[in-house]
Parts: sequence; C-alpha cells; structure tokens
Amino acid sequence: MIEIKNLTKHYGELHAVNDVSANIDDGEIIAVIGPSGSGKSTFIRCINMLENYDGGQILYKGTDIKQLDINKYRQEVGMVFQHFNLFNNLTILDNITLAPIDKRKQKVKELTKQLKAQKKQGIDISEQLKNLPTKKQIVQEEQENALQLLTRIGLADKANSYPSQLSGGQKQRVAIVRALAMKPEILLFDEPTSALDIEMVQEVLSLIKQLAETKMTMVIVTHELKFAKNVATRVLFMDGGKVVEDNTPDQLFNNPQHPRLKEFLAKTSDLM
Amino acid sequence: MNFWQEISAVLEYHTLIFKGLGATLLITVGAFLIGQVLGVVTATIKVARNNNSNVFLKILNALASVYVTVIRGTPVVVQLLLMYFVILGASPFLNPLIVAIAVFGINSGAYVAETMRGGILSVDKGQMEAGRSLGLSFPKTMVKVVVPQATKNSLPALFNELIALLKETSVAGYITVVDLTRAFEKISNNETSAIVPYIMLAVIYLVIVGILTLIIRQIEKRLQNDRN
Repeated sequence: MIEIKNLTKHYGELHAVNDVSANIDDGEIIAVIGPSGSGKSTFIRCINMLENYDGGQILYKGTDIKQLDINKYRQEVGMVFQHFNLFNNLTILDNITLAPIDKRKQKVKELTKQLKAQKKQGIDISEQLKNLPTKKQIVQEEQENALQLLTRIGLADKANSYPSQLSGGQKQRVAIVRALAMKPEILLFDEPTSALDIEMVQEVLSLIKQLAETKMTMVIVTHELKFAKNVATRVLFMDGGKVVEDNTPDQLFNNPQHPRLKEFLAKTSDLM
Repeated sequence: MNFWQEISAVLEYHTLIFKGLGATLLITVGAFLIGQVLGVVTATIKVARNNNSNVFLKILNALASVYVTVIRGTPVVVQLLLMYFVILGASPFLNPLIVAIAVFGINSGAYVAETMRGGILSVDKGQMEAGRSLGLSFPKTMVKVVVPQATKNSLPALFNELIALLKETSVAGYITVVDLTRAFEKISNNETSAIVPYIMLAVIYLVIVGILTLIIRQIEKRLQNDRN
C-alpha cells in the first residue's frame, strides 16, 4: 500500500532519517523499535507528511504522495500521537465527528458540482441530487457512528465530556477511535503508550491488539517490545536514522543479526 | 445657578445625550467586531508564514506587517482625519459614523493581531497537527480548533482592548460624529459652563466601563468553571 524509497530527513547536520526504504503491505502490522533519537518518530511523521522530508519518495498506492491532495491522502492515513492531541475545546463526540463530517460534506459538495456540470449537458440529475445525504443526515450518521465506536471502547458515557475530564488511557483510546472514524486505510501510531501511566498502558495496547485482529494495516512506533513481538507481523529496528534490521518478530527478537540490535536487545531484555 | 440646577439644565439635553451614547456604543461594538476579525486573520497569516515559504503567504505577511506597523505607529485621531478628509475626501454622501466604525475597527485589528498571535502560539502545536492528520485543511483547523483555544487564552487582553476602544472613541468628534463626548461639548458650549457637563461626561464613561468590567468578570468566572 505504501512504498518508501530512500527517505531522508535532515535537521541541520543531523540525519534524523537516513536513506530508509520500506514497504507497507495491506494487512501488515509493522512495529518500529529502536533507541531514543534513532529517527523512528520522524520516520512515521514523514509518512503522514507532518514532517516535510528532503530526500526520497513515498508512494501511496503507486502515486507519489507529494502529487496527491494532501488532505485527501491524510483522510486515508490516520495518525495517533504520543500526547493524544485531542481537541481541548471540543467534546469527545465532537472530537470524533469533526473530521468525518467535514470529509463527507466536502464529498457531497464535489458530487453536486459534478452533477451540475452534467445538467449543463442536458442530463437529468434530479434523481441523483435527491439521493445525496443532507448536512443534517451526515451529522446524525456520524454521531451515531461515533457513539457506536465509543460504546465499543466502553466510553459512551463520556460523549459529552471534555478531554480534560478523561484519564490518559481514556484519552488515547478516544484518539484511536477518532482516527478510526475516518475509516482509514492505514493507521500510524507514534509511541501511543509512552506518555501514559503504567497502569493505563494495557488498556491502550489491548485496543490496538483488537484492531490487529480486524486486519487493520498499522505502523506502530513503540518501546513496548513484548507487545511488538506478540502483535506485529514485521518489526523494523532503527538506529542512527537507518533501518538496521527488518524481519519477522520471531527472527528479529530470537535471532538478531546486527550487532547494534543484539546490544539493544541485551540492554532491554528485562522488558521482554 | 446652583449645582443641582446645573445638572438638571444639562439633563434637559437628554435626547442629545442618548444620541451621543448610542453613537459611542455603536462605534465601540462595531469596531470591536471588525477588529476581532481583522486581528484573527492578520495573526493567522503571521503564524502560517512561520511554517510555510509559499510566495502568496509571503506577500500577505508583508502586507500584514505594514498594516500593524502603520496603525500602531500613528495616532488614531490622525487615522480618522486621513480616512475622512483625505482618503474618502469628506464626500457629502459619507456617513461619518460608518467611517468612524471602520477606522476604529481597523485600528483595533492591529492591536488584536498581536494579542491573538501570542494566543495562537500558546496553543499546543499538537492541536494543529491532529487536525491536519485527520485531513482537515489549515483554515478549517484554525477556525474549529486553534482560534477558539487562542481566544480563550487571550480573553483578558481582548477585554482590555474593548475597554480601551470604548474610551478611544471619544475622539470621533474630529470627523463630526456626535458621540457622547461631542454631545457634552455641545451642551457645555450652550450652557457656557464646563465643570458640570464634563464631570457628568466622565461619570458616564466610568459607569459604562464599570458595567463592562462586571460583565467581563462574570464571563471569565463562567469560563473558568467550564472544564474545557
């Protein structure tokens, strides 16, 4: 689905991401691990163009993403952040529905425009126009959908609360659901549990695990090695801006090849 | 005439006073609203410029800088006179009240721009990133997420601006608007006494500012109780 070719990103002299190539296929769950400062976060942020990379190419379904409408691309590529980034001024329900409602309203606008162009050519469009959902319908449907998602994570009673009234784990689960409400093709997680209290890490990880079972394509930057081992279908180990090793979790953890990975695993063995 | 007689003499002009009061409030409210819009737009351009090297934005940003510099660097009376007598040429069709609303609005916008810029920068960067990552456009994320939070953060400064604006409108008489101050000036001329009319004028401003302050305190209290 996504092909990354020789991706490079500098910060001045520092090569945060240095000539990284990787493929992300449908249904894959890729964990990206590595020491702090190895470029994992910059790498995943480049995929969503939150960082403007200066070398290489990212292809989405065969097209260079720099040639795509960036907003439409991002509608299909969801992102979950370390610090949740829920919209502080909106209720939980509005947090979830803001973007999908906007997306669908725009789609209706575009369709209407297309239909009107057809009308100029003398084609009868009244039937199609009637079938387009109204703004009210869109809002209602998206709210219902959001409530369903909230019910799934046991937070339906928080629909009208504000983010500041939720715990960290609850916030991150809402953030995941907010990304899901866009019905994305792929979800990117940038250290989703790093800002959480230890007792809240599990609730977030188990939600991600549930998503994994639905064959959602995901890229997860994480320090939770045990989780990476159990859930990922593939693991990338990054160090110094490069992907040093790219393998199945079984091979990568049990039979590491690169000396830097061996050292990393030895130092973090108590986390496994 | 004793003091009380003088007061009741001034109150004979109540129609004129109410007319002046109306003009003052109208200019203040109208200019405040215009100032908010101009200020938010200008601030947004300045903030957007920091993250983008688009040529169009560069031009807009240069215009915004000129706007803020010129407005903040010249007295509002001079701006009023220039607009009314030079730029618009004191055409007989001009409504000086509308010119005053526009000039004070443009003036206020330059100050609000600086306040809002600070407010926008005080909003966590992650808010914009989250909006963009969901496919919302920059303007949409600004309007729905960042500006509401920035406004809330800058509320005390914005309320100060409202109060300052109310008092500044007292120079609207320079372009023949009969505002509260000009009304009392007329009364003073007619009554050939200055003390009582001008003391009353001061008291009226004081009372309006007092009422505004009370309202603002209530709003701030309510917002503090809100947990969002």
